[in-house]
Amino acid sequence: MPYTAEISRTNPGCFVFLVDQSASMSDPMGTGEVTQQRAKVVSDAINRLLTELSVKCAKEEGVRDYFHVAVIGYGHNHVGSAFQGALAGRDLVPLSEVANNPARVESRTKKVPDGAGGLVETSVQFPVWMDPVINGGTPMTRAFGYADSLVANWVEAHPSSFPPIVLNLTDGESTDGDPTSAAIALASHATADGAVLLFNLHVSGSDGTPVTFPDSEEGLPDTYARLLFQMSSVLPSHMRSYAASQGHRVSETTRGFVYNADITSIVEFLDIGTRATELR
Amino acid sequence: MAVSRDDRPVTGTNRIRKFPTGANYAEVLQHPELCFRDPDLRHGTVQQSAVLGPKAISGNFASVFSITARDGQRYALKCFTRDTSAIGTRYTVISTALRALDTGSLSQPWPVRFEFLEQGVLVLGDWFPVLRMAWVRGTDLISWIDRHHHDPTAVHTLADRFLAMTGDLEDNGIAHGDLQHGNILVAEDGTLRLVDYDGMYVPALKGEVATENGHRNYQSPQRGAADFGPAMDRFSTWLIHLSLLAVATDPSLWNQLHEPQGEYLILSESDLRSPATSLAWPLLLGHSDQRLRTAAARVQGFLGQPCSTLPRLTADTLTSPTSRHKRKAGTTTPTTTGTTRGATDPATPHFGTLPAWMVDRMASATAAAVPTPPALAPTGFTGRRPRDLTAAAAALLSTAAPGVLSVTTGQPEGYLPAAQGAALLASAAVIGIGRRLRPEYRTAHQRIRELRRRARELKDPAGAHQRLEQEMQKLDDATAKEGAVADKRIRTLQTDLRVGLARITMELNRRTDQPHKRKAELSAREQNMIAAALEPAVRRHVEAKLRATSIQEARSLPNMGAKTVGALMRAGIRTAADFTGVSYSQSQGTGNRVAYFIHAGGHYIRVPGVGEARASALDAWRRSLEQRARTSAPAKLPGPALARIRAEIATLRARYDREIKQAESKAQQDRDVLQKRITDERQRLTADRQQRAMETQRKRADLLQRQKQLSGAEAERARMTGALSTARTETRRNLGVRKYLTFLLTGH
Repeated sequence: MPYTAEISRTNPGCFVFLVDQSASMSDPMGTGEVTQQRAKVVSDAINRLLTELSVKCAKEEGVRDYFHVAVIGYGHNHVGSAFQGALAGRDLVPLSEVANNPARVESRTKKVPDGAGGLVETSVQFPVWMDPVINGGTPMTRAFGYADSLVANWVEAHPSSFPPIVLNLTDGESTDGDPTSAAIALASHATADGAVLLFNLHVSGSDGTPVTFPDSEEGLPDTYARLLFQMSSVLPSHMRSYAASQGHRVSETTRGFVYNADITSIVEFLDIGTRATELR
Repeated sequence: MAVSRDDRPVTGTNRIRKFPTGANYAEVLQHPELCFRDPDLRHGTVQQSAVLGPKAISGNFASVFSITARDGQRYALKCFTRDTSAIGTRYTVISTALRALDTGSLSQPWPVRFEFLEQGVLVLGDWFPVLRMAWVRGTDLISWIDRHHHDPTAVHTLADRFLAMTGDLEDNGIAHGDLQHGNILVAEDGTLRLVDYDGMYVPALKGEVATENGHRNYQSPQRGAADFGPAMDRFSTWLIHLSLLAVATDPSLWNQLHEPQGEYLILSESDLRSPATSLAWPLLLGHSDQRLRTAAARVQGFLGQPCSTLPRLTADTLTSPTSRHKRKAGTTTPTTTGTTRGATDPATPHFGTLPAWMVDRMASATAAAVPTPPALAPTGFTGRRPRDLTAAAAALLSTAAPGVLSVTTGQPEGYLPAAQGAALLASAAVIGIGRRLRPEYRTAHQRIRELRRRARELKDPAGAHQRLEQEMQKLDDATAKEGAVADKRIRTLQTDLRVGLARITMELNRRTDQPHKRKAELSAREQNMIAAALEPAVRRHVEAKLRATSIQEARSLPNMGAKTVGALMRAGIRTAADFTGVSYSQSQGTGNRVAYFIHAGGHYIRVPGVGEARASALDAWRRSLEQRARTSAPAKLPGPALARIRAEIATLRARYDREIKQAESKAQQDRDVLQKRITDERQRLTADRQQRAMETQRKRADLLQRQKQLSGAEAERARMTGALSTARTETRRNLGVRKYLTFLLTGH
């Protein structure tokens, strides 16, 4: 059965994050009363995902190399590693190294509920591996090509592993042509355990209702969202179960696509060690 | 469409509640004074990681943090990342059951006390439950074996403790649900602690279902959610016990079967799911230790059995009564275990690297069994062989030859004495060589050499002892080194096999991908072909029906008078078949839309007095007629045409099936070849290892014996000197040249 390979240090998994760094990402997007730049939303999402992965793979002795992780930015004239700090310029990095080498740890002020109905301002430590970058066009096709070669090599070296997961975070407006065929090529690489999973996080300025893991393109606000939906892989069955256990309505055609919403929960979809029963 | 919002954890009456993630917890735990209600936790200190803040130890369902309260009490705080059904109720039931245990009757203090706090931690404005436990100091099972696998006594003791602990669980009708290396901790005193009770079964949970199925490398392939019950640990219990027994019996198995960083002991999921292609099972099932073989066969037999039917692991189910007796002795007095075990089977060479304690035992046992070489005096030559006769003949000939030569060839007289001397020398040499080649002579000489060496050793017993010690050390080092290389190679063979099989599957998938897709499209393709074949007949039928409908009938439409119908007829539209549709264009002058009828012949017709409204009404009328006509159109292809299409599809299906089958049988062949190559290699390595181990033992026994003989050196030396001179005299007397000559001539 595909997508059931053990994720372990001897049989690691692979994450490739693709981050849209084009000029359009400087547009604001509304999240309630706060308005944030899309690029900021996306870089925060990446930083949170990396923290999430690190915590998920932390054991007594430290973070284990259950995954190899790449963060690839794409914008004007540049497709390549978006890591900053010690990891700058590197593509696939073992997770323990990622966890130990954020570019910096920021202190962010945050208002948190005090449990008695009020809010209290406090500061939290927030590890940062990449800052928002905004520059030129959206060469999404080239970005998929870049991911393609990373993934092709990785799959060759890890034929029995859980297949790579590529997560593309974008506002959707590719400027170097229709990325569909590049996406199909990318998602056609496979280990013995199944084909590459391509997921998309679409951040948009249009005031659409956030959508998480839809099973059809009906109701998606624009053509970009629909295009990204079509490119996204169908969730494998155990991921569907997890999505369901988080309260999402799922079906056989549910895809790894999220519109204007949080995608950090995707990390929870990964089974490491003890297996949950398929459905509760 | 399934749409849901997930900005933040949702609380409320929903059955499903989204729990915070590990990173959510790590963030709020930066401020214990804000996220906890419990005073101990509020004022506690959260253990930090080097970079990422609060240090988590994560599993698949929760992250655990370490908090030290002001009074120094250290807690493990388990924060759940997945909503397991009715988690609080379950924990209360489990807690009650564990508290009810009579701790005095337990084999060791394995239960860990915990407290379920419903309002445990505040995350993003909502309270989530936590489990507060006393922090357990202990080493997980893999790390422990890594450190202790060279100490069979310790591993055996641990196996016994494990047996006792699982016995406690069984006695109380409890099952853990996820017995695995990470949940079994070895405390400093060597007793076990069991942690993580998420999936635990206690009698009061009867009828509930499992929330987890345990670690993939520890569970029977047969286990399912329905196995939630007192017997659900049975398979993993047997498996873990077998693993401990194997390592205790033969420590090299740990190096051969446990991949460093692998999340299993010596058997992993693939060994459990496909024992036929496993490299580990043959090592266990073919091991020289009979007890291990039996245990392995037993566990392998469980693979196909429903979990609920597996027997309980008890001391009695483990072994035959005799060996159990020995084990008992070992258990009660651990210091003598080595002796007992080592002495059980000294004659059987062990195929792994021998553990130090065992080498000692075995070598001395072997040494004792080998008697000191008997001081047999050589009794003389016996039994002439062709070689001896050749020597005699050669000696005779070479002595006589010069005379014969001088006679026959007329050599000068002076030649004879010189030649005769040389000939005598030659025959002496031939006889000398003949004598030395005699087995009696060689044996006697070897014995003299041996005696000389021993005499030398005895002159300096301390030095000799040390030299022997060094030799043994060298031998041990070399064996250990060779063993380690072989172990590693055996271990990497498993990786080679896994990777090789994966590549074959990848290639198979690549080759069958297209045919599978095409095959899936075949039924749609068949429908399309049938529809296409029907199309002319349908068109003719529709055409005939429309042709049969006079335009006069359009008069039933509103706003359609005789005048309009007349105009249509004049324009050549006499039946519904005379136009195929309507087209509109913007009039230049008025800006109104002008309607054109599209004639069946393709040209456009403008009909005076028919504007947009009438035209579209007529178009709709025509279309509804067509629709109706289509329903009565022939839907079935004539038999032969249909058969042709079906045959074509069947051919395609057969072709794709063939392609898939070919790819599959090619893959199977490749798998068989790979499997054979790896298995052969494994067998060769194992045999080599066994061979070398035997060789080492022999050499070691020899060295040990020599060392032993060094004690009482003085007496021995005197004896040795005596033996040496006797041996020399005997040899000279009984195996001298004269004796040999006599022997050659007479055979005595």
